[in-house]
Amino acid sequence: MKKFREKLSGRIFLALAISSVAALALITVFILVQGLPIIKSVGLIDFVFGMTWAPTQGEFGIFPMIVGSVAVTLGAAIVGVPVGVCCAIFLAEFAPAALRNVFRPAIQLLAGIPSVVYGFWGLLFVVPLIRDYLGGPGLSILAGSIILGIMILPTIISIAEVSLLALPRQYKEGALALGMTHWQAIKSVLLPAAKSGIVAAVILGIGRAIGETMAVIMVLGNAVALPGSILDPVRTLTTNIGIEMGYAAGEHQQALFATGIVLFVVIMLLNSTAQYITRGNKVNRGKKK
Amino acid sequence: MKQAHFREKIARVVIWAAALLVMAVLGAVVVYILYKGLPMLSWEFLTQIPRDMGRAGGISSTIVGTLLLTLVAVAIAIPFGIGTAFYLAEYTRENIVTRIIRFSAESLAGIPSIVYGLFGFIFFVIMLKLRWNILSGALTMAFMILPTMIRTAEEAIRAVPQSYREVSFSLGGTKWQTIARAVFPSALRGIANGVILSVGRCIAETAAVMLTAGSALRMPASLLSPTRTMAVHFYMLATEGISMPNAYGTAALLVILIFLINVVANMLVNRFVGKKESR
Amino acid sequence: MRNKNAECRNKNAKCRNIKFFFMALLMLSALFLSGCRPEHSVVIAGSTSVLPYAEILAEAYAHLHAADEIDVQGGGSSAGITAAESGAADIGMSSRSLKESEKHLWSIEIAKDGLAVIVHPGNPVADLTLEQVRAVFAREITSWSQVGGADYDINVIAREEGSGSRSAFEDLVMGESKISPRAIVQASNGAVRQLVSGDKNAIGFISLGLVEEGEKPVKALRLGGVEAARENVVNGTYSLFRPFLFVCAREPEGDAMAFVEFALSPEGRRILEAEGLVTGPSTTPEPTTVPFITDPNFDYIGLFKRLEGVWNVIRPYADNEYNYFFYRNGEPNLFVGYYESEGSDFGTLIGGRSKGENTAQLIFMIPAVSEEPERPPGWIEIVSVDFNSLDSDNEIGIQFENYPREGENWRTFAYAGATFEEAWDVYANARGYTN
Repeated sequence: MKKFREKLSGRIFLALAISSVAALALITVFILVQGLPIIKSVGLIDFVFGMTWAPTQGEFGIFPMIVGSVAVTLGAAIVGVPVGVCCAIFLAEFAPAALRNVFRPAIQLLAGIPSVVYGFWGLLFVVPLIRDYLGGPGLSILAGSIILGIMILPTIISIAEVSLLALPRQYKEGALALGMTHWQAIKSVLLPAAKSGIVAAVILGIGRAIGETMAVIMVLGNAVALPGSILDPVRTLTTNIGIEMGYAAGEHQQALFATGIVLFVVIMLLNSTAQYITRGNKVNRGKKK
Repeated sequence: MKQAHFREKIARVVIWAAALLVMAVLGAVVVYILYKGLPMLSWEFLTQIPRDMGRAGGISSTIVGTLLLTLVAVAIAIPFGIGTAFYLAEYTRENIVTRIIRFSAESLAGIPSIVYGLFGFIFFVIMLKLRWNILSGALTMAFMILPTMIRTAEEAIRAVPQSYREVSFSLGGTKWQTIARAVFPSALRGIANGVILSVGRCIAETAAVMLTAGSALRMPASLLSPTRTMAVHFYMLATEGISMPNAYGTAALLVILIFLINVVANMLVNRFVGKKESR
Repeated sequence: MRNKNAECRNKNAKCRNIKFFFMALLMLSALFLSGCRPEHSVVIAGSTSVLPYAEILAEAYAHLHAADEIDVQGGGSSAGITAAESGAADIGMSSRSLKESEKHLWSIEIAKDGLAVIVHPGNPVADLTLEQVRAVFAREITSWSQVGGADYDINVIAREEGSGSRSAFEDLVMGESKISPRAIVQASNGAVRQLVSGDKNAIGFISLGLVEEGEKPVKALRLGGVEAARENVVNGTYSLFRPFLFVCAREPEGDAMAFVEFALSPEGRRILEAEGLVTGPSTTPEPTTVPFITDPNFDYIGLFKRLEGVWNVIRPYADNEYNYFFYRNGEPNLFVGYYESEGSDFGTLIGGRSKGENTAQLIFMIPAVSEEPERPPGWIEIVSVDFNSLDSDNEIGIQFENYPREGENWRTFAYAGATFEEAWDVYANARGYTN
């Protein structure tokens, strides 16, 4: 009986694993099969660097959207990384226990709020502010960066904090024993030691920013042209898919899948970079000991 | 030396400022939504179906839709995700195949949800002719959360110290017994974390759901009914200016739901951690 | 060691609990799934311009046909047409006419809708020519000062490419020019309206019927002096209008057809008109002579049996009843039943057909005697019935010419063009009968 259960459980796990792998393969293959033909027919260079996106006229250049994605993500990083890392330092080093117990769940809550709520909030407060005080329609790269920056804060904070907390206590104690101030200890010893973890946090935050769709559809304005300034409306790779996928057909639909492939590649590169950095970290740790 | 102290002070100010800024932002978003939305959460609001495109009535059908969609998606993804994780961690040796699988899971976990939405829309709704309903939506969501489940579950399983398994084997336990009684309970915390994460993602997802589960307002009668989730309902009410008060109410309920899930998750985690430490 | 055993046992219990939980979950899902039957529902998808009107029609339809479910959703005209063609939706909604490549689909126009060009109510500009509008959207004109306003940049808001409103706008206004790629894009009428209502320098185009709908106001521009109003669309002076279409892969049947017919029925038209649309020629139901229409495939026998059943329902409410079945060649030919009940209620249920192949469609006339009988929604009024087409050697002997009687206030309503079931449902609901 035992043997039977062993065999059965083993088989069940195998079956589940195979099905899951099949599902993962299905998505990958599906996206590739749908998207590659258009890349082939339009040409990779013309697709990625084409300046005009006008599917009804057969033009499939996604460069404006790439610029949009890059600009908004960069802006989000500028907004989110400094604040996020500072907060991580705050949680790890400066916060009294009581405040920490409030702050951490608050960050978790921030992480869970649906992106449409953020987008709406941005529409209510950020967009009119930009429109009235800085000019332009308000729906702009700037609005998107601010909102996205807020949205990636939890990711950055939690992962950076974990890397800071994971450092052996001796690092900090050693530094303080040498007469450094708290901040000097952080700046010169802890941050560099946790560098790879923090960088990984930033990269993951960026990954999340690239993938965001709903909040940015609401505040970016979704203009198809190449933006001229951060006050201009713009489209990202993700919002392009989001807006057009309902009605896209034929080549247009293929182009959207091709955009998905581009996103896939970008995320894979980001992930690999993050993995490489953190793996390097583990190796270093071992060596130091 | 004085310079160092000065720098120290500046650093403290900056860091506290950052922390306060984050708290202020959180407050601004959450408090505003709750302030405008909590008054809307009456019994009628929670138990009536939306009428007149959402201008009147309540949000009962969206609540049911959200819960059903999430439940089914998670129910589909859990066995496959956890099963795969166990298989990768316990039943196979580390080789090129497992590494490919793991890498794919990692990558697919990071793909924007809109790409899953596109896949689900074309594959389930159009190609398989399932049309817009909870089933299409749940299948799409399940695909979306599967990679994350596999990853978090596998990490949690691998984090279980090898000594647990060795002890179990030395006591004469079989592989299955080891997994079920030694590994699984210890990995449960991490697995639960992954489940909670996925639940949160399903509840918050909008674009993918709108194009696979539809946006019909009536109470879903079965898995083959289209439905509108709260996130979709909020999106439509808010962006089209149909009814701001109702939009706020929906958002408030969403925030409360997320909050409750977080609280429950923390409670569960603490229970297990507590048990462990009592050893 | 002992501790570990105790722990193992605890964990075991936990394991079991969790396993049970998952089992229960799976069973629940299975149960729910088993409740899955192909639903008695009609899925309508497409234009966000048509969407609110389809929703209202669906709500009204639901009052009449509780068993049928109508699911409405947006996505844009092109999405709706694609969905109709692929079968994802039973009916697609479109706010533009079909393109050449779509002409093989079945479509029918349910109304016309004006396109309004809207600006913020605080914008001093109130009137533009079509040419100016074109130039603005093509970004040849970029400042409000160039068209009589203040010196601010014009924020142009357009719809997504798959939108029927956008296509209609491009056809009617832009012509050969293109809407500037720098225009802001929003995915629905409501979103455009919402944006314009909040931005002093914005301009956009939405469905005319939507101008008044919303919490914050917007202003519709006059085009070349012509007010953007429904009357001007009707009399042709306001040139921006487009058709609202229901599109299907092929001629619809069953529930889908019933809904399409409802949209085209006088009641449906009344609803659409009330919301600001312009419907086809006959916009108000007039008293009319209802001709007998022939339908050789109709199951009259079944219908008559059903009439008997109905009679059994009315019976408890009736004080006196009379019913007649008139037979011809051994088959029921005409059924007349009428009853009197206390007070002024007097109802007659009549069904009839003429003989032979060219059988008549049935008219259900329910005279209502009361102060000022209200025309039930969806019914039209009849002032005369042409029974001459009935076979002359019919033994009926019904004295219809005696109605209305002296001193009585009769109006006769008929529910034409629909099935008996529907007519009965409406009547029973109005009268409070339960089956």
